[in-house]
Amino acid sequence: MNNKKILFNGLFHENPTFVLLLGMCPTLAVTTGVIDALGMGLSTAFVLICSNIFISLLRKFIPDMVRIAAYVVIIASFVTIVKMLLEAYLPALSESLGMYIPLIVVNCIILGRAEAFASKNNVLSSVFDALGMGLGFTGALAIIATFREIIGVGTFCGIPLFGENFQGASIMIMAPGAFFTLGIILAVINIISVKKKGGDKDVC
Amino acid sequence: MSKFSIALRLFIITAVSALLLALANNLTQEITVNNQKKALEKSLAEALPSAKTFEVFNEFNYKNDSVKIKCVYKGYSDEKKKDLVGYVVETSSMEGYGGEIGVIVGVDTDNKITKVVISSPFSETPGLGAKAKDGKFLNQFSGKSGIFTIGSAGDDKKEVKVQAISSATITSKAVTSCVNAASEVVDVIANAQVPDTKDLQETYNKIDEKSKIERENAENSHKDEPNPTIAKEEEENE
Repeated sequence: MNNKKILFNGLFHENPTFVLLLGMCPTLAVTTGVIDALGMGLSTAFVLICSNIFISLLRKFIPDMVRIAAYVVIIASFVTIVKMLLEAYLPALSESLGMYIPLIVVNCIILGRAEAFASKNNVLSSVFDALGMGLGFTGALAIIATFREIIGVGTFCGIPLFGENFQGASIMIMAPGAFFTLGIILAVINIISVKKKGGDKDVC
Repeated sequence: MSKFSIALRLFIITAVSALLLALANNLTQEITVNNQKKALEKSLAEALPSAKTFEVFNEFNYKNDSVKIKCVYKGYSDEKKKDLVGYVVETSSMEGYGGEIGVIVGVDTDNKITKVVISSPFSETPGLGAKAKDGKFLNQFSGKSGIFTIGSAGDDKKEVKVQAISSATITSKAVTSCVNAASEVVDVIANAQVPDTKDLQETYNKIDEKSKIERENAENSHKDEPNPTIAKEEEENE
């Protein structure tokens, strides 16, 4: 598999949110606004790239029997160091991303990619995989957040779209709205992919 | 690979991680504390714009179940800490929709709210409770004093009506209760200091009387006669 294929694999065919259904916690929790979704997505992508590099470099050193424990230690300490450095040197960025960083530690996309890809491939391929997965995750969050923000609040990236008197459907920015949006998007994607495969009518 | 070497490798990974964490912590701790201090100073200055220097003041008795008073600062307009212009109260309410809400309240010496600033922790729902950070809600407190209530106020004239954020009454109530608690705390502190100021006033009066007598003596010795026309005019004015 060449690197371009690896990149598009994460973006579309194996999109972590819509196809692999990984990282559902941030998908449901941090998609109330497009800005928040982009912040969460991009910081996950950044951590994913770095953790894939580390795991890929250490893949021959880490014994198979204890690999999960080693991944967890490496990812958790890496994320904590990033958080400390952000707080110290970029306090403004840390303030807006601060609440997402602890969420990244427990994000299964990162552990999933370490296990499924970085532990078996070289550094360059791992970077492309992380890039594709990270951007795929960011894009998916942004799509969900766009629907929820426009219907729920009537804004896009905080910019009002419908004027002063618009009353948003509050349910869309509360937890149930996240499930509605995700369910409908997943259904649409499944319909499209089933049709592409030749339209097996029993599968719906 | 033997069991021993597996354990050794895992040990090396964890040891290196711990070492790196310790290094990073050592490197950043001081800067982080400084950053937090700066952020606090910034919100203090925002809450009480007329003050230039702040002093921690925590000698008061106040208890409230829902609102925690974290710290009270006295604000002075000069650097020598003589001219008291108000107080800044760092509070937090446990009754927000998403947990704890940090609220910093500036109160002037007339017990009027100067400004309310939302600080951390703050985890209200974006689009609903997070609107509490907007000026539209917070500016309702500025320049007013009394007991703030959400929604329709009763006949009690002491109550000040505050318009809640739509669909976020819980957040609005939590912030309002913080403001009320801050106002009460300042009231308690200001009242506790009344005897002090009275004592001071008495000493001032004594000094005044003393200097008055001295001045009169001096005037009498220097001037033989007071100016009769001025004295007459003063009588007419009265």
